[in-house]
Amino acid sequence: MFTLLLSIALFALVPGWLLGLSIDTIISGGLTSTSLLLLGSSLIAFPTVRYGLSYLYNYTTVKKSQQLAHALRKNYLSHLFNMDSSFYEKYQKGDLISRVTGDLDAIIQSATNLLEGLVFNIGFILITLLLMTITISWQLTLISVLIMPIGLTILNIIREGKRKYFKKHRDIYAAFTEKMLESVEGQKAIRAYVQEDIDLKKQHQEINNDIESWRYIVKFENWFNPLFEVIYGVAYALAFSFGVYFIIQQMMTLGGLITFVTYIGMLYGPFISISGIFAQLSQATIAVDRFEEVLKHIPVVHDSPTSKAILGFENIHFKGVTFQYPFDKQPVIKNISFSIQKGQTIGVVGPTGAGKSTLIRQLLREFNVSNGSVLIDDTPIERFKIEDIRQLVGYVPQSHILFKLPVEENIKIGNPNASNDVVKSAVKMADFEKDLPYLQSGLQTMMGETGVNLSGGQKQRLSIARALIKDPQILILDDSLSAVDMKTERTIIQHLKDLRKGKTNIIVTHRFSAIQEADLILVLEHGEITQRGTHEALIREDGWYKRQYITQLTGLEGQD
Amino acid sequence: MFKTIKKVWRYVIPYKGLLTLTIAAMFIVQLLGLAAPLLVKSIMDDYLIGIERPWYETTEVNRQVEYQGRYFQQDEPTGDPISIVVIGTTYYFSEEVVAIGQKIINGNTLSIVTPQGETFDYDVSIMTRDEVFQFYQPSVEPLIWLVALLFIRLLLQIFFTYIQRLSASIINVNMVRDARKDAVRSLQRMPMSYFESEPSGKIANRVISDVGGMMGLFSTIINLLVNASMAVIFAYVGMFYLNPTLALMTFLVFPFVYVWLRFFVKRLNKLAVKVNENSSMITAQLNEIINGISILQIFNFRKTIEDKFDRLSFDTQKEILKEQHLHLGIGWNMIRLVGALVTALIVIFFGYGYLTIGGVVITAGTIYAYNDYLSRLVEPVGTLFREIGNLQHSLVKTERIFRVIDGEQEDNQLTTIPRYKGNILFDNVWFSYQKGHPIIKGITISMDAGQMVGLVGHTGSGKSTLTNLLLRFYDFKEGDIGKIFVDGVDITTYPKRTFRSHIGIIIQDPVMFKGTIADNIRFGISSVSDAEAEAILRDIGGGSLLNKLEKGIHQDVSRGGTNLSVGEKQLISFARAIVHDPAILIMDEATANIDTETEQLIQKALEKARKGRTLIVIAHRLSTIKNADKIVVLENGLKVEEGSHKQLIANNATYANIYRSQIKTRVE
Repeated sequence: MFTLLLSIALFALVPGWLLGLSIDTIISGGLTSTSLLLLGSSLIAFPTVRYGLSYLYNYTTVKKSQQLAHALRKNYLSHLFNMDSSFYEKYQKGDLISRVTGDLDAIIQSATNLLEGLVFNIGFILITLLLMTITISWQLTLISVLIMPIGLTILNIIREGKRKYFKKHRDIYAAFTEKMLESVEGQKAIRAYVQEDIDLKKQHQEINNDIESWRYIVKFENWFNPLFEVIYGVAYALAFSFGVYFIIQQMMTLGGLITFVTYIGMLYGPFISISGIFAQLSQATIAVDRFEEVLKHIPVVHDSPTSKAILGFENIHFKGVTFQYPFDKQPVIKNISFSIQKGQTIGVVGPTGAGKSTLIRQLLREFNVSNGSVLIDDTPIERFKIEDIRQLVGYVPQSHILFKLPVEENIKIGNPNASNDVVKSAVKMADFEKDLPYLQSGLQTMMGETGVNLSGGQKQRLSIARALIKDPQILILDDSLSAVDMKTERTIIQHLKDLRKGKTNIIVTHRFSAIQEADLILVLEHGEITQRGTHEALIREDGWYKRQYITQLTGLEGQD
Repeated sequence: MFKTIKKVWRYVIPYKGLLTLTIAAMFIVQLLGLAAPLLVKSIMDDYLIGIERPWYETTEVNRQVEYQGRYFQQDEPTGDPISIVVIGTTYYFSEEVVAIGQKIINGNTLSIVTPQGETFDYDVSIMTRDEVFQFYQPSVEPLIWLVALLFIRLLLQIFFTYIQRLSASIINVNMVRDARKDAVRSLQRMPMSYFESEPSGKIANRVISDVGGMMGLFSTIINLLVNASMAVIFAYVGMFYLNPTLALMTFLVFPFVYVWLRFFVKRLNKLAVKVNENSSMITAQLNEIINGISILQIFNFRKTIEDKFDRLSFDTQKEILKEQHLHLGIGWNMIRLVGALVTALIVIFFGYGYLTIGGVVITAGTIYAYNDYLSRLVEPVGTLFREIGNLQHSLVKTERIFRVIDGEQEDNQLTTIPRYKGNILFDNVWFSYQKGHPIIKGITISMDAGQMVGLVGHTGSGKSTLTNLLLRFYDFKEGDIGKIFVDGVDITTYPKRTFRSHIGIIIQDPVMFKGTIADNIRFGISSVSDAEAEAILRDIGGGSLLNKLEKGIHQDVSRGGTNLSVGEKQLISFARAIVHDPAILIMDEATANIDTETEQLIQKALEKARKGRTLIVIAHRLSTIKNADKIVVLENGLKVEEGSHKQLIANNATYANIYRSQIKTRVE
């Protein structure tokens, strides 16, 4: 690589010298057909070889950097899979994506640039200077070249200082884009309340703010950039005037001057990039830091070498479990204790925000509990392999996530190796079978990114099928029946009862109908268990359960 | 393409003055560019090499140079000519004029071999440094002037380039501002259907980033049409002046450049599309993965996803490398090669001429200047390659933004009309979004002032369409039948905005506007104080919401990062409706999971909001509308039932069935 760079520099410099030589030869009358042939062919050969070398060099660098990008992307994604929920609480989705797109591009870009900027440009400058000093005139070199690095570096430092304004500009720009989105999304309300004029004024205000801020930057950049050229101009003028003087003083030839001036022109670019290298470095460091920050994140939930395998269980005990989300001030669930026996069906009810979902998700090993412990057959859940624990559980979440895959593949996420029969029976159990005729190509129908072509109820049934295909030891329905009608709910519950004998089900719900036959119902209010028992027991007890049960029954009839 | 350029031109025209300045500055820059090689040529040929031209002996009065007691001048042949011969950095004095040819020095004898093969010998003597300087003496002053001129020219060029860039940038900035303002103004008056045809982000992006296309197009016009053509013309002026033959010869190259350019652009566009697609696919896939990461983790579903992403990532790499291949093969790298080969061409051309045509004087200045002009000719080729690639992109973007700016506009009048009483009549309404696929099929509903009317039905039954028609978000078009009357007046007789003055809406998932909660409640009615807004919100049951928030009614909210639930946003919308006091209020109940408490809050707000106006509720939970004066049941665009809750239950048909399905298991 280094030899390549060195040869590129040499091959780039020779034509300038050849031009000077040609001029000297022609004006001195010394040109012969042989020397013309020699000069002409070298003037063709050197740039051509340089073309080839540049091709080789640039292609290799880009290839290397792209390979690096590919490897980094792979690592990043793999890392994302290892992260726990607190990580995803901390980092916004958009942020995580921009780190592996925008920031990664910046890293790759600067890696290539730095290689070229530092190694190539410095090498090129040194070789050029050496050539200028030895073959032409060291005095002239000193006089004319010195101003370039000094002047350019000073200018770049000034510009860097000014760039702080960019941060301010980004905020102004963000406010502007936000307003545009707001007006588009809020168009219905704006029109219904006849607020078009007022809103238009606000939009114009934001547009003006952005434009004026941008104008300020444009003006500065336009005023500032020519200064770089002025420095080049001064170097050029110095080279030319002193060069002429040196010729008069018989210290150099005309061809020498032409070569020299050509070299001055060739030095400008590399000096510009080197003087800007600090800015690039600082930008690259930010990008590298942002990328590394994610890669260096160690999840709180992780396996240790002594983690145990687990295939099944007899009982699970929650012992004084308290859990607080990393960025919350208050725990969501407090001092929860209860037991689940293998084969039981457990219902969890309570007002929104009581912590029902949080409680049950402790079984998914997304977080570690803040206090107390979850014991599986008397061993803390943290001692088992994360993957194994998750293998025990089939989880159906509140919000249904579908992937851009065919329906069947979406279901098979639960068990990639499931046979067609298993898929079929899971689909049947989830009562999803009745939806298939409505899908364009049945199980092979492609899902949109957010699964737009399915209704809420269909998505829920698909999600349930996904969990059932695993035939999990524990099935968790996390308020997952809210969008299906009563009839479907009954069918699904009945299927679970019939086909999951001896397996455990946990049902979080708003509707009491789904859990009437549960072995144990937990009532969760403000993060604490306030009531527990079977349906029959709970409706005889004064409390939330009874109150809500009555409201639900009579709610529809009201003051009838 | 010219249509699009004409559209952009509309936005440039207001800044004619600046545009003239830009082009004038460009012209001056090019003129200065033309001068540079000629100045250098003069320095070299007239003064530096000029010393080798014959000198004539003259009197002391007319002398320019004194050398060993003799006097010389160069302007006119006054006496015997002598020559000064330069070999490297050594200067020789010869009493005769020396022929042109290869110089061989042997002691004090100089032999010249002419290109024709003849040899001449001359007696010469080496000159001292001071003697040489004597001969340069007459050139010193003009040289100082010329070098100063060269420097001043450069500064002028920088200055006028600055003027040109600045004025062009100001045009750009103003143009973008004007286009954005026009675009948002147009958006406000475009049919509501446009907002449903595309995601909000895309529509906003028209205004935010597609205007970049206009800038691109403008810069292409300026850089390519004006600047590059000027550069080419001026370079040719210089070249024809110096040597017309060679200048004519360069025309031979143009067809090749044309073919080369077409091939390059075609390939590049194809690759660029792929690279762009790939990088947006990467974002899309990551987006999908991160959205579903919890599911993927819980189900230990990793390998397939990782493999899929890796394939995409690898494809991206491959496409980028292909693009690089193209740039290095026939892009900038090739252009640079061509630029360098120009020098070879000139040296060979002039060298060959010198060798074959006797007596042709080739000066250093000519070669230098020609080299300079020809390089200036290659430069626009680089610009061409760069700009043409962007052109396609800019055109597409520009067309998109103009589809908004020149989009269909609805009437926009706003006059004050008295508040409606609130009688509504849908009279045999047939409506379709797509011709031939009616969504509403002959529906007649009458609502009396002050009534609360519930609309019930499955997704696609036509509930929302009815309210969209009432709000005039959609208009009847050819093929649709029926009319809608408010207080007996056909609603299409009013201008849209005027008509909406007394109508309010609460949408399923309300958007919060940037500002405080109070701002969102008063929503344009500035006479409502914060305290009044708070009182209204508390009155309809939003007290617990306010207590929860740190700054209460002064809490800042925005479209994005606000942790208000759908129900809470609807409560704020209710307060807004009460402030605006519309005669007709339409509420689209949230479909999201709402817990019993919020449901009760909304219920309470509804009771408050129905007073003094006609209230239409699109209901998903029957409990919301059990107290309605009238319930209309829709199915597939048909009205299947109508009546009060009691009547409909007694009817024992569709409504009763839905009702039972919602309540049945609860009763068990």
